[in-house]
Amino acid sequence: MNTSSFEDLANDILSEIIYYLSPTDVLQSFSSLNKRFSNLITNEHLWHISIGDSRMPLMIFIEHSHNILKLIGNRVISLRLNLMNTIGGWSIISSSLHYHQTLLLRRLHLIDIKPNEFDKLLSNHFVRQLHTLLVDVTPSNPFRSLKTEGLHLVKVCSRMPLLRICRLPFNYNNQDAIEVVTYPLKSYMMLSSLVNPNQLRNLSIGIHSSYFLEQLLLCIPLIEKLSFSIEDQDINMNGGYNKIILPTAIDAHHLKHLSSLHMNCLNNISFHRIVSLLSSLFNQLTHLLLKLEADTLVYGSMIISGDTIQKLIIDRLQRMATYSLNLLLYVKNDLKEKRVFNLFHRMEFIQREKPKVVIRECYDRSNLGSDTHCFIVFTLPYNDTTLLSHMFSNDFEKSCQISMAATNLFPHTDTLRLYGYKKTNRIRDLVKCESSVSSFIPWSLISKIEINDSEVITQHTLKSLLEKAYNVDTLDIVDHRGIIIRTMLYNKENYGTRINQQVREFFH
Amino acid sequence: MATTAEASNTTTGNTETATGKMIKIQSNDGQIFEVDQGVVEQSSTIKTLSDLMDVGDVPIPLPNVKASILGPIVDFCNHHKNDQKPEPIDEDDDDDPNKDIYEPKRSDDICEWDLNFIKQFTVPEGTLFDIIMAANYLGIKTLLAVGCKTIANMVRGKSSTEVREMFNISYDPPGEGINAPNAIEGQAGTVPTTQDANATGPSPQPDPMNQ
Repeated sequence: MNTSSFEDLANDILSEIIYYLSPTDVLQSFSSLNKRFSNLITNEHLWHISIGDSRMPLMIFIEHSHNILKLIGNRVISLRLNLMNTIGGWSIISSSLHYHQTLLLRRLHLIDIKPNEFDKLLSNHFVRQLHTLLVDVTPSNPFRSLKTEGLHLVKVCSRMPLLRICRLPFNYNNQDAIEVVTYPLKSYMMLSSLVNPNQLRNLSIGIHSSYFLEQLLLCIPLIEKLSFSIEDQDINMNGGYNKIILPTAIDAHHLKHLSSLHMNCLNNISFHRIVSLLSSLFNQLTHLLLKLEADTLVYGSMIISGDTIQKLIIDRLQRMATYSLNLLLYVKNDLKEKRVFNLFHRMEFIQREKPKVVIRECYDRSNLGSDTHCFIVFTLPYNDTTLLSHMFSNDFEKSCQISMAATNLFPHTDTLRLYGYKKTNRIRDLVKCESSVSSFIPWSLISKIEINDSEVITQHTLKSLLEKAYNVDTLDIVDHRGIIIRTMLYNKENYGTRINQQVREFFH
Repeated sequence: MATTAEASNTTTGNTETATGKMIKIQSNDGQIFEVDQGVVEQSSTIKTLSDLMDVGDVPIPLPNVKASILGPIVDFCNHHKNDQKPEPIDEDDDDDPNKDIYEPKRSDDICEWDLNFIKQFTVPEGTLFDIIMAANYLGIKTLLAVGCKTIANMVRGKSSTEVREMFNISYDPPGEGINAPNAIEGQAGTVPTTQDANATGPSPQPDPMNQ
């Protein structure tokens, strides 16, 4: 009876095996086996290569780049480059890609590239064939503080005529712009070059002004999925809301394919402007995500209340449309009566079974005015990556009324942010085994813990938290009084050692 | 003559259980196994066949799988029938910056039960390849993944020579395949001249990673 062998495996099974290996491993182990394997690797398998992480550190790529790209360059369809803290890395990659043919490359994912390096990369001819460009940057990257809106988006679209999916989370940050009239029109005038046919279907951009968005919406006629953040900086929050002129609603014909909208409004005025601008589009959406962090007054035309959310947004959506909310509201002069908070509870959309809405008061008042009431309203499953500790308290189970695994309730979580004073903030309850709220936290998904004050947590609770959140490798601590850091340095009960063993990155 | 293996607690064919109707499947050497819907749902092939054919009490023939492999496969599916279904990957869904949807899949996450399960299949006996090919034929993604991860873990870090020896892979004759003079354009003149002393094949194998 014949015995089966490795060579009996079909090519699709071998390709499946290859997906579990890095390109370096595959080339090392398979490329010289025989004609069939060599052919599979160089002519049949489609490669998704990631350079700069543990799977293929840059040095390994440099050592083998010539052979890797020579052998499989024409079969690479996706390339992910993560070259943080690598001097000269982007130039090496740029020249390698310039030298070797990568005719099938369609998807490029760049992690923390700097503006000058990005411009150089764009000058390469291969970028013209890309369908997908994803860029992600760290908070300290210069792309997080741009003085001109849309510059890079225009460059990208002019160099990549086939681009369909684009993520450029670059933030416009011009603190000097105080009045509307001082906005440099040239910033978004050049968007007119985007009017030339572009193929953009899925676009995600960082923080921009509502004026920029108004112009952009006229230039992306095929867009289906749009994600943006808006923070208008031209009006001082204390300058009075009555001066605000809201934009007229955009003609829905300009965006007839739009079906999914993710909008993140970072202040009250931006929220009202965007809702006014997009009011004609809500009824064509299949999905809406609204994230909002804003001050509001209890009265006036610019109030953000449950009624505002219900009438201006929820009621305009089609019945079958889905939506996610994540609202963090600071209500001025409302700490005692909690009028806005209480009114939220009466809204029709709060009572709905689906999506389940949870409302929680925030107990951290250290950064708030003495008469400001703060609360958070969010839908489940929660769509954000950051969990705030004041989302949870012992009656979370009661208010949540949903039986679902924590990883399904909070599927995108990677950060737990801790607030408040350690004796009242109930963070200790999160780590108690007998506490029901502990079971609602997706501990395995959390890789970063943020602590915003010296008095937020005791060393014992932090130690227990790290045991629970065993995948945490990053701690970000604001510790002006040095209490947390001192206890680490004293290493009482091996506290410092425990943290040192688990945490790879520490920000203080 | 076909024999019936009791893969579930129910011994009669076409019976209703808490998990629904029982289905009979037959290996290529005639052995019949009874499986419930929880097992059927994991195999796209069996599910398609049972949907297409109104099988009744007639066993579904699986001509590519022998009983010694089909039995453990039924055990595997019975063990995993209550597992949560993984979310389908939407390749257009590139929204999460923390995720690389094309990253090489992890192969170090085989659970303990699966590790012990796959250990019963070996390379010298060829059963490791039998179970992988059967999983592929039956469309059981979880089992196929366990098998492929196992192979990937065996291969990782090994040279082509070591892989060839481990799996007893045949060479191309000299001048063919990878040994062809122009198999890899521009390779001439850069091929290392050293030869693996342990290599048992007829020709030296240039290793592209060591050029």
